[in-house]
Amino acid sequence: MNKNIETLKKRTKGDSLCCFFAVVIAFFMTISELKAYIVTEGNNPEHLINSMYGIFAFVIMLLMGLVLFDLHKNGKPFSKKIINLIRAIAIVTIFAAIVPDSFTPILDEVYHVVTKNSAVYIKLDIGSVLCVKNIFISLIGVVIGISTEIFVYGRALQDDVDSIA
Amino acid sequence: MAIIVRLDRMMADRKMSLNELAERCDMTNVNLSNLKTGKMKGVRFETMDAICKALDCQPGDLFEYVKEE
Repeated sequence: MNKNIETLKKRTKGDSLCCFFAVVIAFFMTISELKAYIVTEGNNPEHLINSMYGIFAFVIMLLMGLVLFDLHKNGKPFSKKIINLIRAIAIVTIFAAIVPDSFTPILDEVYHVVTKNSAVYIKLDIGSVLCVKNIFISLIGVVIGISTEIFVYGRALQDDVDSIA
Repeated sequence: MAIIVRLDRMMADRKMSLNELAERCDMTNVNLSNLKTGKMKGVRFETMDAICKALDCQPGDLFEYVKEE
């Protein structure tokens, strides 16, 4: 049992480092996309959408890194902290499916009002928000959320095992 | 619970400290202390084997059943 925990701790150390590396990549991706959006003077809103995806990737990888770091520290995957972090990943993933395509037109118009003083005209395209890609991403979030129930049961088993000498 | 752990009595008979027993049984002091005070829900056979070996006793010497009223 102790050997398994030690192996898990070693394995998750590398994984958590990879996650924090991905956090840095997501951060720079967001910055570069925002920069590209500003350089093109807001003419290509695709960059704004990509930067929002970058923000969500940053948050998801950060949460995943925290999960792996906690796993590395304690060697036990079934804890309340990890369950809450995975639930947070699920919620952020669902938001990642909805927010970029629905909020980009608003942010795009705000940018144009601030920089060019043009009139506010927000066109929210429901079709682009409810596209197959976004529905697929939100379903992944739902699946992650449901899988936390396994961890809840695992936590009960962990408590039982911990109370056996 | 109706099952009472008599580990403290066996340890006193053998004049063995908690730390010494924990070391001999390859257990943590906290785990052994929890077992001694009856805070644990169960005991593994391998733990019982190690304790019996260290204290030179039978499993029945470590536990006692007291009928609850």
